[in-house]
Amino acid sequence: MLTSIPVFAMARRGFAIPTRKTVPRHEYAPPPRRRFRANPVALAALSFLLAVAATSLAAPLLSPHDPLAVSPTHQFLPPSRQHPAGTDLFGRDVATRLLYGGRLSVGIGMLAVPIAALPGTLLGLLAGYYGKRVDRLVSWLVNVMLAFPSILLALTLMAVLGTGARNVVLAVGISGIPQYARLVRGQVLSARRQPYVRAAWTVGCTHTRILLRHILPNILGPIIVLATLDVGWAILNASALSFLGLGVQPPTPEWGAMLNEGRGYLRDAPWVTAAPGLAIALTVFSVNLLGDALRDTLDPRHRNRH
Amino acid sequence: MMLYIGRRLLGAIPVLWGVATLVFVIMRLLPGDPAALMLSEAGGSAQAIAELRTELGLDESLLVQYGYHLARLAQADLGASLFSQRSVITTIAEQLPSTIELALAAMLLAIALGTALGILAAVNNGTWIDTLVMAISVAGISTPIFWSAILLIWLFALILGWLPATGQGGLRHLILPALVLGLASAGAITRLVRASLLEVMHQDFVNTARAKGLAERTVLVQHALKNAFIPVTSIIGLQFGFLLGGTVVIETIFSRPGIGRLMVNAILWKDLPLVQGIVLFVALVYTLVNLATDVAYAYLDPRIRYG
Repeated sequence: MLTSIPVFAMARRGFAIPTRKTVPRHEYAPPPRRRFRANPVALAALSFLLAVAATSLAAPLLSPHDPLAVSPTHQFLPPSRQHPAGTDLFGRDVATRLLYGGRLSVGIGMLAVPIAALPGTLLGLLAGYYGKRVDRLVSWLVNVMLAFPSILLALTLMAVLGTGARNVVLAVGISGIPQYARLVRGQVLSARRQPYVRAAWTVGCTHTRILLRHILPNILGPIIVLATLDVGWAILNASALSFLGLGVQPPTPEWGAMLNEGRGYLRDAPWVTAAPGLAIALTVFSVNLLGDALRDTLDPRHRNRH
Repeated sequence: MMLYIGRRLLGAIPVLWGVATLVFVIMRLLPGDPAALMLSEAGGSAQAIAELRTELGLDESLLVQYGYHLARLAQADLGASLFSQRSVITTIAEQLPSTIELALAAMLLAIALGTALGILAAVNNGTWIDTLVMAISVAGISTPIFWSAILLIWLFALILGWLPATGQGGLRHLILPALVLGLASAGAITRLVRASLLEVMHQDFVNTARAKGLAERTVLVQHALKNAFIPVTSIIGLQFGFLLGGTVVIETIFSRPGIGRLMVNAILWKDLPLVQGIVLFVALVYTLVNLATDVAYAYLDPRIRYG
């Protein structure tokens, strides 16, 4: 009704133009980006993650210490001005190792996600779109991979691949593939029946074009949400592998490996395990908060839920 | 119902065949010679490697090896451990009770805690209680179990001295490991119970129950909860997988015997027959547990059975 009267004419007559401020809040659905910005928790989580990334990358500028230099005289010093998180068994500065360790721990988590997401999404697209034999084959493969608890699949791959950061990325990434395939398949199945897909088919689009230009952009929201939450899982699984001594090997600083190195000295030097433990927990916590906020904004099923 | 169970059991066969194949592929097709890999630590001579290759049948063609692999599995023969030379099945069977004890205790704790907190959050939806419970559950999901284990050992074993830090034997040794695993798993259950209950609370039959003039408590307990728990059964199977994976870390930290610790040691010793046996066994158990939860789901929700 309001739109039938020219807005400027209304303004000239002294009517208020309906804007975001004049429309009651519950009637106004802000676009996703603004809804995300209005979420203080998500913003705090994002800032924390950016800070972790920045301090890890700038580690050489921030710390005067060498993460690997052994100094027997400085063994197990409690936190002090010079060593804000104390020192470890070899007299290395824990805070410095924490900064350098962030590169590996967070880096592995972020690299493992595309290794899971790209093949998983492709499999899901094919299975959901082509159906029939393709779907049966992909679904079988997904069910087989899901028959292993994810950390167990990663462990098995590590047993054969051997230790090292590159293999952790591969093992954690590959064990995440079925999650994406399952999600995307379901999304494509429901998207395929939408009028826009039939319209694209009618005007002569190829299958590839429909899949990549029409369906994929429309189901990208849930994939992004899963990928975000998956960063948290990947960090947890990767650091667990290193904690067990099967992933990144000492003396390379990595949060899980640092926890393992410190756990034998819990009574005398609890700070050695406290710092990397807190770092993993806070990072994954932030990733999960961010993922939840993204789900609220991007996933239509979760919008206006309560 | 029997028809449904039969159909699901038949459906599990190709999956189990796939599991056996995938494990074979991982063990044999990945770069590297398993015999050389297994003897690399001991600095095995070329002759020793060649002997082991013959012993493991690695000289045969891959197809023949694959055939033997499936034939042995069909007879429930998982081979022998490279180190102890004992049957893999016996080794697993020895370690199994300890892991079952841990997984069940953690599962019970997770279900009890997750359900209670989930209901608490849903009933107080939108209040600070809801926010707090949700924050706690996200924190529970985000905290690595190897760190929460270390924290609890530090507090209860080293500082307070109430509970033993490591080892096995009796309830006192079970409390800390079960608590760590249970807390981690409770977070996910809390979130699902809350979401499921909130969804049910907005459905027509709940409104009808309210309109009849039933007390809110009766509406919640008699009508809403029963239906809200249906989707929760499905996550219990998944959480069981998480717990099985978690035992790997927990048994190592608490020096408890069990399948998880056996797995880590088998990998460190490069005892590939043992690794393969454990993986196959856990995948079999996990598949059967998921099948059981699916059957329970179908029993509770007839829409699945006839859908």
